[in-house]
This record gives sequence, structure tokens and C-alpha cells, in this order.
Amino acid sequence: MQFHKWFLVTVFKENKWLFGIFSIFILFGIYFNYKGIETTPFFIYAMYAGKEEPQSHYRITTIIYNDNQPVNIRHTWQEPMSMMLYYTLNHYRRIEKNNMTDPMYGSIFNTVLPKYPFLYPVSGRLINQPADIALYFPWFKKYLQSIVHVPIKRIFIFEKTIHYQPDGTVVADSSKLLYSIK
Amino acid sequence: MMRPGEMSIYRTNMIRLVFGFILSSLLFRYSNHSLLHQLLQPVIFKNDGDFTYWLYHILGLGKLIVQNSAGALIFDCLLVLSCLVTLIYPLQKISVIVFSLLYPLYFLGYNSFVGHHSGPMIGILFISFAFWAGKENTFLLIWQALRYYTILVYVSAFCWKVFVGASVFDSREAAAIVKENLGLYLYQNADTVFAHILYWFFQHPLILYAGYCLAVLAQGAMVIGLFTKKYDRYIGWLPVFFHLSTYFFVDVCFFELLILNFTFIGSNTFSRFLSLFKRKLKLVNTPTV
Repeated sequence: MQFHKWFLVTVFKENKWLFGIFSIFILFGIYFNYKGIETTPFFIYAMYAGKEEPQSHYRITTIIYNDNQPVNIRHTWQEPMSMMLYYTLNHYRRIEKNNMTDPMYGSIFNTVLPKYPFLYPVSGRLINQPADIALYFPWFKKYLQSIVHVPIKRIFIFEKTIHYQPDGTVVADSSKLLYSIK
Repeated sequence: MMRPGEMSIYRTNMIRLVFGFILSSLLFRYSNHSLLHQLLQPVIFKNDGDFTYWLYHILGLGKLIVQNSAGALIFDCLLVLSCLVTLIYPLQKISVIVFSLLYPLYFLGYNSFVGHHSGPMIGILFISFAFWAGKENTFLLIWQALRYYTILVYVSAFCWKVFVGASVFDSREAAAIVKENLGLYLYQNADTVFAHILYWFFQHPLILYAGYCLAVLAQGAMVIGLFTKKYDRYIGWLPVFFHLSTYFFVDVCFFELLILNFTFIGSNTFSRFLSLFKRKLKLVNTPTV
């Protein structure tokens, strides 16, 4: 092993500050990967590392506006706006299931604050407030309107259960109206 | 080893290439209604256990530059402007520093309000810091570190799939992933050419699995880059192959992460590429008799 040729050894010899920055970055990277906590910018690149088995049924969320216009984001390159619609919707549903309270509420107030009481004055900034949560659907309508470029009167959001047939095609089994937004 | 003059040309060309790419990324986000002013003051965010998000919200940055329409617009203008100025005047550093300080705020704002750790932008987040370096040698060290980081991103993804989750050893994995991700698309677009291609793959799940293994292997093959730079011109294409496959089969768009691939371009490759243009220019300029 020719240690003197290792990159970090070269950095140490040439620039001690840079070596310090790189070392801290590596140590944090290892720590957060080991703990399994994703903390920006120390990402864990474990996408689809866990075993996934084909399901007999899958759930999808469909959005219909103005009675019969489906939101159909066909292209993968439209992912950033698709995420803004569907991911925020999923998060809202989690809040709703938690009695309209931010799911982080429990861990912040029961675990974090007793350990770090100096965070009390700013704790309100770490969770979504009920007044903000109540404004989610008006925002959703406004954002969707900016995407489809037409005035929206009404939005219906459905959760559908689908299954794949042996030829690969998709069939919907059931449909449940989640939200009707005016 | 590069000569001092060569190094300076390499760095100038690289800054143009990198910020040209960043500008295209910002245009991509603009076309996707995803710049901060286009989010139209979202009301809910998701912090999870990300302490950096916590800091972002404790400092009130979310309220200032995401949930405030004027703040968001001014922020976006500054972000785009700093990128444009760097592209036009690559030899000064002020706009580079401004961009490097603003982009993490965009990154955190978008990710926190979308409620997801969106990975593609991480390359842009890091790469601009390389151009802060005053000395050319420091730039080269940061550039090399970014090259190693790029390799480790893919190698760690390979290790997670092979050694930790061992998902790659289940032949049903590929079909399960594709079905999970493309259910909505297939439900809404059942008769497109792409839908029919997917149906064919669902009927031949082993071919889909072979493709999946190949994509995972491509990630693992990046490890070569930890030991030698001789094959950089080849291994630089592996992430392109990987992200193209995930673009079509997993419905994720990671093209922005490919900015880190510039770290695989050596000065020789650059010179060869530029000499091609010079030769062409000479041919065009040669008067015909």
C-alpha cells in the first residue's frame, strides 16, 4: 500500500484547512449513514435497497378538476411539479390522520424539547400550525391553476385501487373520493 | 499533471460548462413551476429528522423566501442573475460566491416544502464551491474530491442494494419497483407506445430483472474510479446509463445530478474537444479558390 499517494494524504500535505473540511464531511457522512438519518447534505443513497415484492393491488391518487379534466403529468421530466402536488398531498393526509396535527408534534414536544429546552421559544417554527394547515387546499387549488392555466372551480381527489392483469395492463378495482375542493 | 497556463484555461472552461448546466437546470425548474416564487407561497412543510431543515425554519428563512411572494421573487431573480453573471464573467468570483450561498437556500426551501429529500440537486449544491478556490492547486484538490464524491454516491447506492438490503438478489424486485412507480401513468395513459413497451416488459419480467441488475452493476463498476483515472472517459457514462434507465422505468428525473460528471473530464479531453472546433473553424475560414 502506497499511503503517500492516497488522496486524503495529498490533501493533508498540501492544504490542512481543506483536509479538515473533508474529514468533517466524511465523518458526518458516515455517522448519518450509520444512523440512517437523512440530513442535508449528507444523503443516504439507499433508494430501492429494501426488498419490494409485487403486490396484488396498488393504490394511486388521481386528481380531477372542473368536473371532468384529469391531471395527467405524463412526462418524467415534470417530476418537480408532480412532487409539489402529490407529495404535499400525501403529507397533508398524514397530518389529517394525526387529528390535523403535524406528525412531528409528538417527537418535538415529548423527546426533543425536554432534552434541549433552549429550543422552546422557536419550537412553533418547527411544526406546521393549524392555521397554516387549514390553508392547504386553497394553496393546492392556486398551484394547480398555475399549472393547468385555466380557472379552476372544483377539484376532486380520488384514491383508486388498481391491479395489473397478466398482459401488464392496469385495471381499477375501486375508487374512493378523498376530497372535494371548491 | 497540468501546466499552470493549461490549468487556468481548464478552470475557465469548466466554470462555463458548470454554470451553463446550472442555468439549464434553473430553466428546467422554471418550466416545472418549481422556482420559489412559482410555488405560490406553500403553507405546509415537512421537517422530519433533518436538522438542516430545522435550522432553516428556526431562522425563519422559509417564511422569508418561500412563503413571502416578494421575498421569493427577489430570491429567484438573484439566483438566476448570479448564475448568468458567472457565465458571462467567469474570471470573477463574487457571483460564484453569491450563487453558492443562495443555492442551498433554494435546495432547502424546495425540499422542505415538497416534503422530500430530493437528491438530484445535490451535485449543483456542492460543485460551485470548487470555484471559490483562489489557488489553482486548491481548486484541483476540491475538484478531485468532488470526483471521489461522485463515485462514492454510486458505489454506496450499489452497496445498499447488494450488501445491506440485498434487494438485487430477488428477481421480482424490478417488476415490483416499476409497477409501484408507473401505476398512475399506466392507468391514465394505457394506449401510449411507452405503455405497450412496459406491458411487454411485465410479460417478460426476467428481461426487466436483467436490465435492473445491469443498472445496479453500472453503479458498482464506478468503484474502478477510486483506483485509477485511466478509465474516466468510460465510467463517466455509467451514471448517464443508470439515470436514463431510472428515468424511463422508475419515473425519476435525476439529470441534474449528472453535473458531477464534469469532474471526470480531464484537461486532455477538453483540449481534444476544443481542437475539433478550431479545426472546423479553420476549414470554414479557408478561402476557396
